[in-house]
Amino acid sequence: MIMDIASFTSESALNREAYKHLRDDIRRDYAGKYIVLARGKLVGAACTFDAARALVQRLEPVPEYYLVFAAEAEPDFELVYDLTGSL
Amino acid sequence: MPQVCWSATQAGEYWIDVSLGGHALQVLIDSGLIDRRGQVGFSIDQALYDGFKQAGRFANHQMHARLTANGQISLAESGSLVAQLISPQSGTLVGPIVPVYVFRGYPGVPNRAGIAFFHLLKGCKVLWDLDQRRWCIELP
Repeated sequence: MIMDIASFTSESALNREAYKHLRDDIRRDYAGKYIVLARGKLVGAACTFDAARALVQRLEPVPEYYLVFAAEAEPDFELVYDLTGSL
Repeated sequence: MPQVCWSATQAGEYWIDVSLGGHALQVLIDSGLIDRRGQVGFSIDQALYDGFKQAGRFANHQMHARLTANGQISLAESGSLVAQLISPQSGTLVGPIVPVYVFRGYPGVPNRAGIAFFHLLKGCKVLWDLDQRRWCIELP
């Protein structure tokens, strides 16, 4: 799925703000799991990365942008530049 | 200080030898693969990535937003492995062992090493001899 920079910026800001408030709860309540964050909300948690990604597909509509990360890790809110790659 | 060096191809590309998750690979140095957090150090062929994944070799995964040169942003997954340089002269593993995230690459795009991998090589220096077209890494 492709998004524009404005959508990414606003969605990322929502997720970043939400994570600030959820970080401690996530680390305490979901240790060992993968977390899904989208639209500034905790979508859910699952035991594997792919199972966590599958949670997103159940949303209506499916968000353009979401984060999946291990509960013990910091999610990546930044853009990674891949200027040789293409879509 | 010991060094390992690679020469540019006739096309001007620099391919270095690395062990990624215990798998020897040649990867193209790509200064356009840049991760502000300094974690995503490689992008590899999808089939290779999927093989690592199916074998349970990744220690961890993340989802990222990836910006390409056409200005488009898409989601990309990565998995974490350990990486280490391989000396092209001796074929032995050299330098620090670094944990690094690896992108599942785009079809038709070569395996690549990005800036973050080099930044993770603590105590090392890159010595780029522009005249001789050699990319060397000075080891601690």
